[in-house]
Amino acid sequence: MQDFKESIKNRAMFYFAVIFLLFVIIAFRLLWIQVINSAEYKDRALNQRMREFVVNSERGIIYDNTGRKLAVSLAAKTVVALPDSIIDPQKTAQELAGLLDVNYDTIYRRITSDAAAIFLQRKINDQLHEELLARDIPGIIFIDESKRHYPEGELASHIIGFTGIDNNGLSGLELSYNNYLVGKEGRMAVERDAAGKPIPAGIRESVPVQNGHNLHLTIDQVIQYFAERELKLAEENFDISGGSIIVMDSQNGDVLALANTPTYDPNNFNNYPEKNWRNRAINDVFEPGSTFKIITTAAALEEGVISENDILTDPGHIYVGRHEISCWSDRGHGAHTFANVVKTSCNPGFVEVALKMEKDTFYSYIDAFGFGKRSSIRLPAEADGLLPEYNRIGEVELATFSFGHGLSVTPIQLASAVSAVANGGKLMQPRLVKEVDRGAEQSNLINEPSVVRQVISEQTANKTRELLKQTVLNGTGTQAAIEGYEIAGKTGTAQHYNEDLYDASFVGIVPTENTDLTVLVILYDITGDTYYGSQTAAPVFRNLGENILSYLDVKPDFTQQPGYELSDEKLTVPEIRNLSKFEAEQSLREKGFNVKIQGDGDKIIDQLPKAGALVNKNSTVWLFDDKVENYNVLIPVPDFRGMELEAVKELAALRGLKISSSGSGKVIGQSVYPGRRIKTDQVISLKLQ
Amino acid sequence: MYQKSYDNLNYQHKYLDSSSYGIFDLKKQAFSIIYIIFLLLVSISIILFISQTLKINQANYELLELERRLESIQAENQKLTLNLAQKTSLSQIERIAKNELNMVEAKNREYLVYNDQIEVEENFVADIPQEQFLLARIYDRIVARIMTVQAESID
Repeated sequence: MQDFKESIKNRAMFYFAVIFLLFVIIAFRLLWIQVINSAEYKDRALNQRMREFVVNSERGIIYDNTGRKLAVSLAAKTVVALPDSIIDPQKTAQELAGLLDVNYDTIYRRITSDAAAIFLQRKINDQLHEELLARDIPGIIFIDESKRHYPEGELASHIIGFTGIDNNGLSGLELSYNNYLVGKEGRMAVERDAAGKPIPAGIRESVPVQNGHNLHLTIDQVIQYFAERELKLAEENFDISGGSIIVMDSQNGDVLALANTPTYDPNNFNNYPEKNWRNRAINDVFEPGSTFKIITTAAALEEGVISENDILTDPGHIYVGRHEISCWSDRGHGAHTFANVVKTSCNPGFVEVALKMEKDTFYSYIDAFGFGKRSSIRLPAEADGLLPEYNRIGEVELATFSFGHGLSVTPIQLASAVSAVANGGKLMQPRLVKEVDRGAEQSNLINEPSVVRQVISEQTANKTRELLKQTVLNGTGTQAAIEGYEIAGKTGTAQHYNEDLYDASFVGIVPTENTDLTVLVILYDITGDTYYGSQTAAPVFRNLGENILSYLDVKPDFTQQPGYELSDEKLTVPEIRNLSKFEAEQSLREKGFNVKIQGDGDKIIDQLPKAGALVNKNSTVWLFDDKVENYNVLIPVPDFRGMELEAVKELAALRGLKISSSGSGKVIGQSVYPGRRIKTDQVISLKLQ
Repeated sequence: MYQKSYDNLNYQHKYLDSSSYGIFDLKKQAFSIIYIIFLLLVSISIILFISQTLKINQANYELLELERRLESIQAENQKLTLNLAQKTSLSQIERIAKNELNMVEAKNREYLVYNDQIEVEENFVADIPQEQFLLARIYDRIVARIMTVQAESID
């Protein structure tokens, strides 16, 4: 009995010891968890409750200059599959394939992958989201992302561009200003309860999101709309591959409209061919044709090699070396003033003027007007334009440059150059973004108007503009005239090499109350019978100009007098030879002549026209001093045929040509073919009958 | 025996000793009251604390819910703004004007000039320079006097 009692006691002691030991172990474990290793377990517990997620930055808004939103960002749902939570992959894939733009195989492959979560379709529309929500498919969740929207659709699509699925700009300002627009994504860690809801007083940690900056453009959506509408109408009326229109405020270089056709809707840019995305006004070059004559005119007037009253002759063509360059008028324009050369867009006249300027002078003006290099408008893939290398430019190239052939320019370069003529000679940097709004914490980045350089004097610019007004009033640009407004402008037509394709253009200056607008219209690759700029681009310009003037509420003035009228006064060229350079110039200018001096010497040894020639007031008299290098200038021979001897003598004297005649009556033959350029000392024999 | 024991009892514990009984009882009562008050205060404090905590918790939940609603309303507002911008775009307006309202574009524009600078002719009694016609000036004065009503006049 005693042994039995001892045994029970021992067993009790043993169990007690075991329980005590277990208790000690548990106590130690508790001590281990709660005290010794508490930090680690605390951290683990916290991690279980904390949910960390990325907060997407909101892309900046793009506004036009009236405050209208052209590009905004809105939240959109993305369909995400959680493969571990999907019960029946086949059924899920089948159900989703009927709703999403992804086929069954792709969905099945994705939702059976090892990934924890996988995107099925990003940034779906609200309707699809509602439908998917209603189906409540297990393992399918939605996350918020930001999606770009363009409320105006096609309007200004080439300027604004578009973004990709990752919200980065792919084209237009969306690409070139991506760094400003995109912002910086933030991170947020929130303590959540067992149901996944945020614990109200729980821990919240965040790296603050930096939303993108807003852009304020110079574009006026109404003018932009007018421009795009005119291009659409042009597409309907003419057989063209596309067109471009630029409307620029000449005073500050603000681009008020920049339109191209064909166009596209940036909301669904994938549905359009890539050629529609192309901003031809910036990315492409074209031969400017006669619109470039504005540059030739401005350069020649600035250099003083010509005045508007100088007489030039056009027998229908001009020879430069062995090459014959024809005028658009087969019969030529005969003897006429430079003002008329501009008005009638006479090619031989411009060739003669350009050759008078010499290569380095003319090339420096082409360069100064901004051709051959980017305008820095900050749109992607801007073209430089194509100018032949300086060393490769000969007399023929120089001649063809004068009427806008043999070189290619971008529409924005041409619009900027003509703006310089409109604003008094300042080449302005084209401005598309007025301001980058960086929010309340940072100051805004303001893109101030910038003068690149003063290319020509204000006087030359005004004179050029007056000549261009004559072109619209009663020259080649009459189709661009708007009653009650003094429109200046120039037509242009350039044929593609060896093809029946033409680029027609018109560039004009539209006066408004505060500034002058430069409006450039280009229609590309015109086929058919109607292809001249005066027939195609000029009417487009007129319609657009009328709409803009009406929109800007610029009242017409029917009482305006032309600012320029050709003087009928004739002057006899005096004898200047042997006078000092200073005396000669002073004497001629006092008498009402324009003077161009050649050489660096002091004494005048020759002049052109010679003394006694009867010329228009303000005509140019060329003076050659004793150190002149290029003494003999080449003069194009007029077509004397059919003229009386007296008239021939007068014209020859005026042009500085020597003639000898035989017979009487009218000229029936001449020893030098009309249009050939000869030295002033060469004698032309005339046969009269 | 019973008597003895009562006597002993009374003697030992001095139950009838009024002074001794009063002090002890009062102390005990006071302590009890303080204890009860303390307990009550602690209890009330705990209840208040819990109630406030619950209230704060509830308010925080409400705040979260309001924040969620605000986000939702803001998103809806943005969508409506976008929708409005799309509906009021110039291309939409032109399409509706032309296709639904059968409007046509104005071909000719006429400008009517309103001249508000027209000089109004004033009527004078005799529009003759002062240096001329003495008789005419006298006539003007007479006419002016007849036509003028003086304040002191009985008329």
